[in-house]
Amino acid sequence: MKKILAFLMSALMVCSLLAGCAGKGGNTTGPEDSNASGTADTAHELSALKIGAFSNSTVTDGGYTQAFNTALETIKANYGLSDDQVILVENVYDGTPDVQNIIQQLINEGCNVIIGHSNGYNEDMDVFAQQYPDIQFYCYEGTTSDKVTTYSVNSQDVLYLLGYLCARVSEGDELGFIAPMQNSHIIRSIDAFALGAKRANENAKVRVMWVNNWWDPETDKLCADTLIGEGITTMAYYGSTSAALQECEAKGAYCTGFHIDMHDYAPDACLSSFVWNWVPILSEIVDRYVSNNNSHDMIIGGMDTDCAQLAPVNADIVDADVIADVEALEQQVRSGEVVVFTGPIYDNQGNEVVAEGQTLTEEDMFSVMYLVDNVIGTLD
Amino acid sequence: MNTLASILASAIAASASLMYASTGEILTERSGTLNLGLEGVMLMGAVMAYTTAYHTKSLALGILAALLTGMAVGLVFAFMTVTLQANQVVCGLALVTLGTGLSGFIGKSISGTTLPVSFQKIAIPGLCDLPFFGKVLFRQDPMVYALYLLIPLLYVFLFKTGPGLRLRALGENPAALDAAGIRVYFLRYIYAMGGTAIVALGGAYMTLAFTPTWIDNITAGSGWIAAALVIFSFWNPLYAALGSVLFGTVNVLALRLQMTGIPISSFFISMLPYLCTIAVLVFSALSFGGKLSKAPKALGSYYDREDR
Repeated sequence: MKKILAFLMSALMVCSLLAGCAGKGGNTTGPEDSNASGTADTAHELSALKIGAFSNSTVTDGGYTQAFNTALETIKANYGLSDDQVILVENVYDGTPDVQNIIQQLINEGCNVIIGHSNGYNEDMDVFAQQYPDIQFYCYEGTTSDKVTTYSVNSQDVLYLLGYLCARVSEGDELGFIAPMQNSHIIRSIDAFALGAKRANENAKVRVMWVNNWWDPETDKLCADTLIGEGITTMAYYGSTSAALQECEAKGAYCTGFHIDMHDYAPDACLSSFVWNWVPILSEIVDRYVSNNNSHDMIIGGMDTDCAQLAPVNADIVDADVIADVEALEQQVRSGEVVVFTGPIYDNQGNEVVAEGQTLTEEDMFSVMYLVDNVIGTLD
Repeated sequence: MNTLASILASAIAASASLMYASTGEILTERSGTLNLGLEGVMLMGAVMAYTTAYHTKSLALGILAALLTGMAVGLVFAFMTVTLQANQVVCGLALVTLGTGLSGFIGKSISGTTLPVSFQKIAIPGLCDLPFFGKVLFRQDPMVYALYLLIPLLYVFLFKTGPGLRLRALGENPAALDAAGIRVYFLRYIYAMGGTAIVALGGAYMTLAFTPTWIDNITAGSGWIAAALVIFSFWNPLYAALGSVLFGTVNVLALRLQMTGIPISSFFISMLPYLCTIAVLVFSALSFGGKLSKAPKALGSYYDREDR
């Protein structure tokens, strides 16, 4: 019995080794093909496009990857891509050996555009980008490497509007902001929110609560609970779960949503949401493949390109005149009449960070790591 | 609003799932079976309760589903550890992996949705107006009220009744019970299944009452905390409840600390509940002068009649 078992186990091991080899052997023609046809001058055929995308959560996470997946489906329809031309791998956690394994597998499958939908993937993607110069690598934010193109959604315009909306709705001067992690994008968003609030109310203050986790409904709920306990009944939520909104609904407070229109989670508490529309960015990626554009220029989407959308303000709980003012402000921001990061801006330690009359360029914005003066909170 | 009463009330609500899990595990461990798979059981209970409640719109059926799931998982675990006499620690860990993966798979279709019905907080008329305790204890949701009954009941059962004595004996010296003619294997099965059923309720609490939503890995490590709390509580349900509330209180206080603007790193604040638990464990170990181990003597080893 033991001998049979031992034989079976070793046979299984040999089979799995063979399976691995077969996979690699069958697909090494992939990159070579594109080598032959992908010279700098010729364009690529859309039918040869194969997108391998991966993200660190599931497509039903209620926010981040869900919005991304919706956009991928739209792109498939718009460009007439078939299902096996677009692969999306879920639950690839940043910084784990899985990342490199997945990228290698996607390359073996013949993908010529690899998209890593989280800023934690940047270093791993760079390793492969150096090895496979003919494959286009895209990564969400993260530090730049010269072979990986980053893409991102600019949040400051919509957050400015949300800050304005919350300050108008709130009865007290203090607003809340439930933030997941401390990175430049989120800090910028908090600053934009605070500046928008200041526009509506000179004395507006924003209290920041750090969840220190991307998906933790329990802590989200406790943060909302804590803010409400302090008397703050209007807050912004910058995560992916529905817990904070549900807590606000249960306690009669107001909250804004993120990634998708979170109105359905809390019809009586959700003021509006910051919706991420990945379609223009993904379209740009496909276009770059077709035109063989290897410029590695950053792709940034904002309110102007409809990547950052303000969900319809909830007319059931917000007065019509406030909605009208928000819409007017939106037009002003779109037309460039109002620019969010215009000086003078001070950080909450008292230093002047943007001088009078100056505005921050896009590059400057990516290095913002301070909280503006009306934000109560600390950075670690 | 930010009074001691409101902090304690939040703490009790936040720690109810820990209370269910640690109480259930006490039942299992008192019978001599070490089940470390709490995380997996809680997740399975959570996902089954949520899926059932989501589709049938009935909370009672959700609770029933959680109980049945817990019993089914307990049955598998008991079969492996009691009948097949496999290593209990390894089986428990396997249960964690199985539960985490299976719950993620089952929950895929309803992930990110919210429950149309969920347990809401109900204030018990009369009792909720008591000066301090009214605010703290009697404005919670029904599953917490069930705990108020469950924990004293289990305490009385364990320490004051005949069957409870047998349960304790089961964990201390199963050979003696066997010699007395009591069915050791059968009882260990019953208590393993019953214990995991209660642990599954802990998971159900999270998705039916506390945060009525399902996402992958919603318990985020509470199962492990519950396993530690069982040791912390010296296998006594009352102390387990106290330990859970302590943990929940430090958790809630840590978040309030963020609000005060004191420049302490928020990561340090997140560590506080765990540091607190370690501190209490060390303190109680020292104060018992080394006579710490009140663990059931037969915990963690299988009982084989042939070995007697």
